[in-house]
Amino acid sequence: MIYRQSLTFILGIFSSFLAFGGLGEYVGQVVKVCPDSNSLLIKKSALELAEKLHCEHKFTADLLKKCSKLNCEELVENYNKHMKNRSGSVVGE
Amino acid sequence: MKILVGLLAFLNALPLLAQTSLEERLSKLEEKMEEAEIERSFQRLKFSGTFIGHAEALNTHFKDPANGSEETNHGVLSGMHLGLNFDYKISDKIDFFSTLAMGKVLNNDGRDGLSQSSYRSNQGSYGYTGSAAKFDVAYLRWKMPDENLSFAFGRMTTRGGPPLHQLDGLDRAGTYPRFGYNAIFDGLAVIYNFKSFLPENLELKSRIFYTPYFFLDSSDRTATAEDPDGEIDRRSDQIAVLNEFSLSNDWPAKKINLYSLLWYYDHFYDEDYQIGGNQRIEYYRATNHTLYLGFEKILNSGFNFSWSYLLVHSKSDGSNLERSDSSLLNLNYKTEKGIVLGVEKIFTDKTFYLDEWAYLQFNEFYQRSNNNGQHYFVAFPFEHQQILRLGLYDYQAGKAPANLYTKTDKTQNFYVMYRVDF
Repeated sequence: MIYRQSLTFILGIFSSFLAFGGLGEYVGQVVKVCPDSNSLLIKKSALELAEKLHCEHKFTADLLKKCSKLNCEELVENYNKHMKNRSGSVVGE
Repeated sequence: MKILVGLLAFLNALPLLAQTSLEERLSKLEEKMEEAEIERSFQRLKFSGTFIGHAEALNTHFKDPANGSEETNHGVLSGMHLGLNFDYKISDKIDFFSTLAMGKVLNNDGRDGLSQSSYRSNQGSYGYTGSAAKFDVAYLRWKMPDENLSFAFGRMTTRGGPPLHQLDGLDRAGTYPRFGYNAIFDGLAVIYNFKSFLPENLELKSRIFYTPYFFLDSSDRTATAEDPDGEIDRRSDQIAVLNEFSLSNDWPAKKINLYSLLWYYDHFYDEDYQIGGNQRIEYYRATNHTLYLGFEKILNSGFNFSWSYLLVHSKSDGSNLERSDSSLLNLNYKTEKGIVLGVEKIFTDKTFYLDEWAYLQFNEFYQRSNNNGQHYFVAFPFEHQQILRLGLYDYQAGKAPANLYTKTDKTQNFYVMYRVDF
């Protein structure tokens, strides 16, 4: 019983480490520019950008193709701001 | 005939069915992701980290003008630095940030050239002291009901400020400009963002810091420290005001940043600078003004340029007022693939002094007085936030007796740095 509780606790801690706190903000920013964008496509693009920051990935390219108001630079900037940069690395930000 | 018509109708409807099915699948997938997001939003702990490996080939030639003697320092040094960040969102208005870190030369421990506790505190895990972990960051931030106003208290992210992040093509990751202070400070901060009063393309932020030093006896926590000339005053006040102005535009650069850092301290005790021989404790006081002017994406290209200017007036009880002017210039180009090519140029005078405690290089490029040098670098990003940077520190420095540099030196150190953020 104690073993199972400990395991649940440890798994809980580790799953929280995987949290992507800024995903909602990232999707929100893209939807603000392109309200018709599919949010799943934006999230898949975020997964691609987590691997490497360029816009030649499949879903990222598709997202930019469907939303002409958004360019690669802005998308990467938005990704960095909400997903990559650590909140608090500049005091007060 | 009926069968044929039915078959044709079914075939016509197939794309529509497929589309409906795809939409349903997408909708279900989205629901599942939303569920996961809601679950995650209850998980308030966020973990991240940075691992850095650094190897540097030392090549310095010293010359003593007093007697003409010469010597060289050759060899290779390798070190590593690890920082683990544990950030916790206590509520929508309160955040806690922390970094537990260590930095060491490979298979070497206990290296610490700093005798004074205040400098050791400013250094944290930097300076390659060993594998004992230290907290480089541990602070709370409160957002006020007026969201433009916030407060911070604790051990703050004052080190590693601009333009250091541009060497690796990253976004800003430190508060004070690195040529104003590259050290870790504990204290209080008040931050105000004037965005409500400005158009969208203008930003103005003020950050005010109070970071006092305390000099205490090492065994009795309530007693003040002493030196051979008597009791040292318990507290030295230090105040810093950082005003940041940014303009987003297309010409001449996508973003222009002008930061002004003013700091002041008084009654600071340094055990190594009790030189007056006047049988009383000699305190230091200084004012500093750092200006950072940065242009990002000049003419919509990948070019970035910044000029950091440091003006210091300092005086100890046992010496005259000294003035120091120094500059650090940084020009770099970031390609669309994220590769960064750049050069830094430094000019420092004989009385130049910078609190450069939180360093990762094995040379004194950023802190040497009477220095004229350049730093060439190229950084390559790889997948999963990995970066490999190669560079050369090339500088010539003259004597600076006021800062205990009695020899001239010529340094050409090549280095390789690997970094991964996770």
